[in-house]
Amino acid sequence: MRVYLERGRSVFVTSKGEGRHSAARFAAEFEGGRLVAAAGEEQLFTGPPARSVDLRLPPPPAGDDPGEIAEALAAAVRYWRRPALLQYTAVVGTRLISGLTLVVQPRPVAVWAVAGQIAAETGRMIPIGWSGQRSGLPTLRSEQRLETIARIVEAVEHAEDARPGAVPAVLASRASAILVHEAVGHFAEAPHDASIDTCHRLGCRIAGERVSVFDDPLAPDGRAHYEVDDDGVACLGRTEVVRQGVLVGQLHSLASAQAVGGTPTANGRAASAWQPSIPRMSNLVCAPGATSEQQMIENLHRGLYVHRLADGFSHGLEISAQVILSEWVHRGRRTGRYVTGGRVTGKVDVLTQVVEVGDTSMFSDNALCGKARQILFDVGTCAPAMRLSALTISQ
Amino acid sequence: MSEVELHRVVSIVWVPAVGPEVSQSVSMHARVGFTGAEVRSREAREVNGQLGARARLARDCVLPAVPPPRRDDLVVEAGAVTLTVRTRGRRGHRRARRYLLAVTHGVVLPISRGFVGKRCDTVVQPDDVGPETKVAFGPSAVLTLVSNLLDVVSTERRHVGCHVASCLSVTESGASPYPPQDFSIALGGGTAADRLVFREGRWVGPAHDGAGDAALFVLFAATDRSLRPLPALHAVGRRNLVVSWRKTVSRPPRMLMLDSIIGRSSPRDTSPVWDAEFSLYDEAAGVRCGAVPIRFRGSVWRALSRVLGALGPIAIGLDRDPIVGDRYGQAPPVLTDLSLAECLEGVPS
Repeated sequence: MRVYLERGRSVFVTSKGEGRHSAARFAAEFEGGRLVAAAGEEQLFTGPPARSVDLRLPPPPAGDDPGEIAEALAAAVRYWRRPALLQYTAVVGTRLISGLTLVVQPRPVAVWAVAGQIAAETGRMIPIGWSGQRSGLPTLRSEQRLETIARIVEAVEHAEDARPGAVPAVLASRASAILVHEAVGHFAEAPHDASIDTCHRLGCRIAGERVSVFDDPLAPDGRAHYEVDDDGVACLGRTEVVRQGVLVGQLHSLASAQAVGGTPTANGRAASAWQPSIPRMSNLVCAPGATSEQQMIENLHRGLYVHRLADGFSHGLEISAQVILSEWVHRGRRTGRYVTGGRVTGKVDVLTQVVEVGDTSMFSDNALCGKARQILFDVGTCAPAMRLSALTISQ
Repeated sequence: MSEVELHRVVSIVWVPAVGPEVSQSVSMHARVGFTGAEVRSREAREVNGQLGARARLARDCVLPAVPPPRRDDLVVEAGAVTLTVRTRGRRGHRRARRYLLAVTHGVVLPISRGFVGKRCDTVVQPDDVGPETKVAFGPSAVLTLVSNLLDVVSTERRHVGCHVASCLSVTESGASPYPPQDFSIALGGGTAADRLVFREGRWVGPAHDGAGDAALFVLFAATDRSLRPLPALHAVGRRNLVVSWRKTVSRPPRMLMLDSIIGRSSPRDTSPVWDAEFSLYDEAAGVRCGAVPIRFRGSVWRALSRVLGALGPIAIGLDRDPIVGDRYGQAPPVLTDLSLAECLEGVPS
């Protein structure tokens, strides 16, 4: 029998600025787990495990103060001077796996997320998403981040609607991170249904030859950070995923690796002890190239500079992402003519259009990722700016 | 923090047609104030053994009545939910509900005294349906369409007041025919008001006022999500949907019923792709179940604007969101004037 235990404390705060009843604060303490019998029967429970299990996790450490979070959220809404709804979630606690031959040391969990919407004066709702490790308070209090959002909102208010079609483009680092995550990361994850074998994908070209990607749970500054995954598999280093545009590695949980006779890559991740681990990215890192972003815009000559994408989605071989803000480039210069709306659409080989890769890779500040009914806060993507010969935008 | 205390215990056993059983026993206790709540899980390990026996018996009764292509996915669920509410330390009211239901491929089969409707043994291939056959949506499919519609309209405030179909009304409610997702307590301990989100086909606007109640709802009615960034996604905080259609129509001699649909593209795509489980209703040949799913493309706006009317009363349905998870609700089956040829994209490989 295997035992998955979790004990944690969560904080949820919703805020729409200031005023009576503008914020709601929730503090939740959870202890529970899942027992999996040899024949596969599962039992989910709350409270400490049965005495026969003889394991008890320590009480969770103190988490964020909901009052401080509510104040920081209200200050952010005040700063933007637009109607907004923000929702903050943080979880601190410990997880533990125990089995017939395995007792893994308790693993600390400390993750947070802020998500929400700001209503631009034009009526367009602009999504907000930040997430990562430890506490989100420093991010919420960062005037630089608030200022960045304010500038985006202002630009969206003066933007024209996107027209569908294919256009040459430079993606800013945060925008390219979304396409790398959807097109490369999810394609490299082994299926969570272990009866499906996707090894035939290995050797496929899925990006331009300047693109190389690896996955690393211990990447410096990564939004994910763990030495042992939720299957109890120790991380032995980074996993090479794409070498010069060709898929050379897959991300495996213990079950998916066993199903294809492969090696687990410490990518078995679960949103909570109640759910089975499935193959998920940890920190997907796209290696930088040699060209500055400014030079790429000059080389683009005419096309779109994509500042922000959001709401990335992939299913099968299709990917898409919402265009929040882009800007026309003319004669190698940004014009200040902004464009909003529409979706980037394409197949998982959308990055085969990459012709130049920027010289600086940065982690995206949104690491939320939902898959198979499990939402993780800490799926990091580190990517440089990229120039694409064509990017398809649909309505 | 407050003088209102809630204690909720949920016990469920899921018995599939194929594969191992899963049981869940959850106990949650909360002190609820006007501006928030403190929630704690409590010890709950054992599930009443009678629930498992009940579910296994029901599965054995139901299985032969399920069309062959849908048998492998059948899960029968037996559960018991109790909610105790105390105000100022006094014993308040206690509500206990037991239930039994079966689900296969997103279609809910309410079980009444072990009977699950007419037996349907014959199957039909998509190629044999006929391109001119009119398309209808079952309760689960209607719920998924409406849920997607809410995702789309919520991206723009200018959609407030937008018109979809005059006969459509949609309410968000804490109440649910599915007891584990039935939770109508609001912050402060009162009853959370239902909220009309579509009135006579027009979107009423975003529901920021109820964000706190929605978070409390998720903590209790979607406990399995409570250790995740649950309010982080707007759809996660959405309560149960009740869809109604003012006009009714009679069933045509032949129609294709899309029993349940599941999105293959982002919920915010304006022309998403769906995979649908279907049945063919024919006056002469009876009901035949689709041998394989079909794939169709179309905006929810278009699909709902082509609805002619409800084919029957509202019934329990299931919106299967690939990210958020399963959400039960209520909707009527509806008939459209769309033909299969107008929306069919193919058969998923």
